[in-house]
Amino acid sequence: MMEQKSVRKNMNNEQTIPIEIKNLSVTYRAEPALWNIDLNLPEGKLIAIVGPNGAGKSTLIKAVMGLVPITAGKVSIYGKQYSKQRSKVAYVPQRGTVDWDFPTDALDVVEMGLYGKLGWLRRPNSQTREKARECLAKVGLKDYADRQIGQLSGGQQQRVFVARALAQDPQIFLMDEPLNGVDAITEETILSILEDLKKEGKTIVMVHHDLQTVDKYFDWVVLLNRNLISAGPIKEVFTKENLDIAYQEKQRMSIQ
Amino acid sequence: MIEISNDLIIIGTAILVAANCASIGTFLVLRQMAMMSDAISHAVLLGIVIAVFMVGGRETIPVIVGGVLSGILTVSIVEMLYRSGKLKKDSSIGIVFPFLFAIGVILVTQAGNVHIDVQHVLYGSIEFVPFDTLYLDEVNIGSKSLWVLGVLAIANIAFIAILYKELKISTFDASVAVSVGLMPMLVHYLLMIMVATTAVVAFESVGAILVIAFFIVPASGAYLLTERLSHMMVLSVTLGIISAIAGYLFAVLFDVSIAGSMATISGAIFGLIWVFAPNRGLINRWRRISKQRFEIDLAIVLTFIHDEINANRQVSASTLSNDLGWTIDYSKKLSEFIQEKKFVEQDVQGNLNLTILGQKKAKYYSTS
Amino acid sequence: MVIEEILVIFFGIFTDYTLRYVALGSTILGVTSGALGCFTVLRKQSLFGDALSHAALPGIGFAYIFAGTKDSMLLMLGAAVFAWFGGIVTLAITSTTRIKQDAALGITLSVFFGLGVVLLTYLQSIGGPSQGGLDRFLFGQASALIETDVINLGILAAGCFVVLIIFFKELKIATFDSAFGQSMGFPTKYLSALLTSVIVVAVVIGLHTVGVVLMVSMLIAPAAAARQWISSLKNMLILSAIFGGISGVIGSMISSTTEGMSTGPVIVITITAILGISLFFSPKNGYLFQYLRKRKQRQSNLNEISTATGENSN
Repeated sequence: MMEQKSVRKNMNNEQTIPIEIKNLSVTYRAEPALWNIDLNLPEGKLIAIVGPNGAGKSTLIKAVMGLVPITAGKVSIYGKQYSKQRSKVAYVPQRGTVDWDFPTDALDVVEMGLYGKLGWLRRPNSQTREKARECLAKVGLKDYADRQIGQLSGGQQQRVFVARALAQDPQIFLMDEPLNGVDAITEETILSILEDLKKEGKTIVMVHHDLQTVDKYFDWVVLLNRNLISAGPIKEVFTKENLDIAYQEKQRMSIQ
Repeated sequence: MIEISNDLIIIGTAILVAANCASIGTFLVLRQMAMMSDAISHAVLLGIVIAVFMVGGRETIPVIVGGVLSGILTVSIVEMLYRSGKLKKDSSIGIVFPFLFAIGVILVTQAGNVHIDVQHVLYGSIEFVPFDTLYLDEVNIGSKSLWVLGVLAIANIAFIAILYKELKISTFDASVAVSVGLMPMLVHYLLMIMVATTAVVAFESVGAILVIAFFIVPASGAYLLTERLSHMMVLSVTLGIISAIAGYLFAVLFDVSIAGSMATISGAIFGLIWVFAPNRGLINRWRRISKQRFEIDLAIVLTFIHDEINANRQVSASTLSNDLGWTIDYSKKLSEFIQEKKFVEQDVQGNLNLTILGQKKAKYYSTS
Repeated sequence: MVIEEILVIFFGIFTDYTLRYVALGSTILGVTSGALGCFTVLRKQSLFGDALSHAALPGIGFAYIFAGTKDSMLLMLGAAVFAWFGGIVTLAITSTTRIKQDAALGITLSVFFGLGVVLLTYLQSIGGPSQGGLDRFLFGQASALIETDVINLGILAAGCFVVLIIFFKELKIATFDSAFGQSMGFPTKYLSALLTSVIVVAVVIGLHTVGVVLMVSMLIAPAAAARQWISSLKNMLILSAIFGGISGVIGSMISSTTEGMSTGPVIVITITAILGISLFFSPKNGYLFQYLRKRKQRQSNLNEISTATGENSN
């Protein structure tokens, strides 16, 4: 209840916008990846970032966390720099970015989510283990704690990543295509977890590639193609016109 | 018979080694198989030693056959290991060649009659090349190494000339090669055989490790100088030959290892290219990047002003730094620059407005 | 007979003064490179160690020329500086040109090695330390180790393990999921540099026992062998260290009791044998069990097919 109230109160207060992006440009060498993006993301919503390949979707969430160098502009998390707000943000990278042959089990990966809170020198302990176990149970992998990560299915691996983010206990989730190529059970599990988180007032930002499911799953959408095409509630923004602009623009660019 | 001085024989040998290695090396660098050649040039030792044991002397043909076979064995074991999924490719390489090389070294040291010095396994003994002469019907026909390397050069030229198209296509796109009916695996193994042959022959004069210098370093230097495969090969051979000659002179001057100084010189030449190459050199790269960075920042400023004005907001020079997250000095420099170039005009209130030229420019940037 | 000889050598560790240091020195190397090698393998930088060890050679040459001593600490410092430098050159080539990592490694290892050979032969020509002095770093010569060497090696190794234990959690996350680690505020770039530094130290220790040429094997083979049995990073480090240690002891024993055997090759053959055994007999995915499983499956497939065709014919 408290959460709900504060969300409403925050609507008009700029300082408590979860993610505020001002005039953001990111370039790789001479190649622009994001171009003058102005965007405020609201609290307590499930937000999809949608756009064609190479539109800068992943770059956008990486830029929020300072994982890629920013050429111009600013990002703030609840009014402050990201480096001061790390504990409020959890990142779920694309599954393909890590080596699943790494010698570790599911529980251990989830526990890594708590390393940030432990900080330097302190070691994982029985408490972190317990917390990791809880989070693993939340994604339906209670019985897989000791399983080698390489022996999990793609969907299970993705759920381990989501559990790791849950362990961080953040206000904001930044997820890079967590529903890409996963099985139906995983998709269902992840979505129901996200619904619960949303009810707690958490903000979830997800790079999403499947246009068919955008209006079914999300409250809000950010249409991106290097430039910000449009952003807002699904009903207002997720229109055929906007999609045409977002996806046609790319073709023109690739011809050039 | 024609008498050639010892110096000339050594330089001739070095030039032929350099040319042979550097031409084949072009493909190794482009196909990202540099470390495979590292493995092969170590592993040939085992084959050489076993051949010497079996024949009882360092006969050229058995030594080459032994070396090539062990080279192929290396490539096959490495590929078998990483295809099995138990090891990654680079781990497989790093395990197989030290093992075979270690066996070779132990055989060499344990058997007194092999006449291979352990050090010379590593950095060759090109100094002694002139004393090894070839006899045909008991007639001295000159330096053995020149003959052998000469034949190898002809074989290498033939290999590249005949398979040039196949090598080129399979190097740049193996899938296309398959679809047009060329066999990339066959080309791959033929190339590996040529690498092993070249490594065995060069082994005696420059040793296991410095042969890698001739395979990789000139070709890498050439890679930074040209875009065309044929040019790259010619350049690579040229750089290899220059390193060989300059290295020899350096070695004689300071009384140091000839092969070692050739490798060092080839590294120095590579270093010079790395820094000064016309397009890809460090200096020009740095210039290009800072120019690009300025252009990008210019584009960002104009886009920003354009978007703000479209959204009915005003932009002033003084708030630019805050808006874009740049230092005050840099923002000032940029805002002065865009005014100077007449992309932007400042009105009496200090607000920035795009000129027609500036609008054009901003639109161009925001769509490209 | 053979067993008797082995026992004599083994008990020699406790009674024979020289043998003890040889064994100790080789064990220290094996344990250190075994543990640290896990990270190079997991970071897919296996051959990076090859470039580092070759790049160390000119460092030894320069230390001799400028310091003029055989002080082992100074030699190791020279080696470490050049190994580091070689690593930086490799990274700089790949990050500022279009040359790929494999060629960059080849450039570093061959050119630095060439420079090292130039320096060694220069030293010989000006009447510096004789053949036996520097050549021992090519293939290692554990039998040349004296008490102070072993103490120095021990201190360096201890330093590596302190770093490894203190930063274990951070090194793990930087290796497994660097971007995620960075998002939590761990400076993964610096952690990588730290890891490279301790690997440089392991390489420097290795110069004494396996030498520059074969060092790469000491980093990769124990880790690869341990990975066949173990599925947690911590245990993998421990088992890899044990494998490295065992091969160090066995290798140095054989080489110091057999005439004309360099330590390096013997240790490398030992550790590769351990890897071979692991690849074949590991219960989870060894070749042997894979073969047995496949045969069993083929048998059951055959049975299925025969029953299926049997049904069809009905």
